[in-house]
Amino acid sequence: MRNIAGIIILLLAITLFACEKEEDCVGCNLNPKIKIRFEATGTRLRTDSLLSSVNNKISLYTDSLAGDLTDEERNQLLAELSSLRSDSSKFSETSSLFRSGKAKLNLINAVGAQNLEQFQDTIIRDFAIPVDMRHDTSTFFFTHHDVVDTLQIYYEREITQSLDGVRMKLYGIGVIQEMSTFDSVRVTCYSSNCSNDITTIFVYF
Amino acid sequence: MILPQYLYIFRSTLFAGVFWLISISVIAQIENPVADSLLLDSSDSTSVLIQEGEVKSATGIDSLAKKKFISGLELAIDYGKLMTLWTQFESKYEAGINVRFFERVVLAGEVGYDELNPLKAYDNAVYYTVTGSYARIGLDYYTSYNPKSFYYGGVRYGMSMFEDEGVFLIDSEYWEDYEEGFGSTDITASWGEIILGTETYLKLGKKNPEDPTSKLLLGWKFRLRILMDFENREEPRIYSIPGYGRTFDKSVPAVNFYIKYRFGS
Repeated sequence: MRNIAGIIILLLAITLFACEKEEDCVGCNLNPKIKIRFEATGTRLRTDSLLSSVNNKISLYTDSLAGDLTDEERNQLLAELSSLRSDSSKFSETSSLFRSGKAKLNLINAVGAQNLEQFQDTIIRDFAIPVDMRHDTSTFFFTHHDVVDTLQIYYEREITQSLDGVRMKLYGIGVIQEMSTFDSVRVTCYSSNCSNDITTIFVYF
Repeated sequence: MILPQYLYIFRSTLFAGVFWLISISVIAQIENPVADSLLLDSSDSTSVLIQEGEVKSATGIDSLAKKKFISGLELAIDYGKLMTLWTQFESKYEAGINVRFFERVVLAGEVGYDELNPLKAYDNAVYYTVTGSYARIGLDYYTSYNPKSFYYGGVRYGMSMFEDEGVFLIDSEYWEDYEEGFGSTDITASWGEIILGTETYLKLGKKNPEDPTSKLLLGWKFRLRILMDFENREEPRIYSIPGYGRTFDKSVPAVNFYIKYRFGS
């Protein structure tokens, strides 16, 4: 009997020391997301064109400074040169960002939601955006490179079960073209068989 | 609301208690010599009082032909399941009735009711409950290890009728959370069981502790349940079947601890 009592006490002692507080967060981080790739094509060309134009002006103004100018004209040129150099630096930085395949996102807002804070002032290329689980469409407003573009995504919602619990998957993901203000949009694996794990929306601007 | 750590302590204590009860059963059985007391006629009061040295001769004079056709009626309660009443995750009740033929063969019937609230059935369930009743019928064959302890093997056919209900939640950082209920009613399942068990007479209240007969028996049995007929819901899956266990596998082991009252001789 002593041995049995000893085992019971040992089990109780192990139990007391083994207790850990469990995290109590039901359903967190399970919002289904859709993959998006930002591709700067038109904007990149426009930026490169602007950069070239600004650099040409800088060159022209620099040459002009070597000529006979009044103090007032010289000061005016220097001020404009300063402004042009600032623009050139900005366009050069943006162009460099685009060449590396990235883009700068200032803000994402969505209908029915507030600012999607996690994307505020971020450098992006591929990202996954959470969608409204209570509706079959989600509308987003992307503020990037001084413009605001709209994207409306539609999808079919389906409840599935994983090893851990109940999840929502999205199928048949597409874009309502009439609502999109981007230069163009392309959806890979546009099919009702493709889930949000596979489908990617390419956004060209 | 019971904190998880206290629940864990309770479960471990329960486990220790069950371990202790098993130990009692085992110790009670190894105290006595090997003999098949079932070959003794239980209606003959002299035969059950024979001592160790006399057992061999006593077993030789008896035979199954001398036994009564119906030699006893027994009522059993599964006390292991009653301990679940204090837990947050399940409440189980189970009782059984046995009719004993020729001392060795037992026609067993068991009924039970389960209310299961498996906390970890789904990691994002707000709640999930399975409720239902079940019944089993089958036969056991007994052999005795010594005058007061027995081993037995048996088979069962079990059936369950139940329902489940739950609500799951998917949290959203930006939109309203998604919450949806699910569940089914009138779900049925059936399974077969192979049983190995042991039981021993309790000495409680006995004036003569050497007398192996008693009205109360303490026992436990190991069951291997094999699912025969059950169609699970597509999604979310039904987590558990009352009387059978979790649905993730086609065979489920289980152990029951019971106390039994024997009517008649």
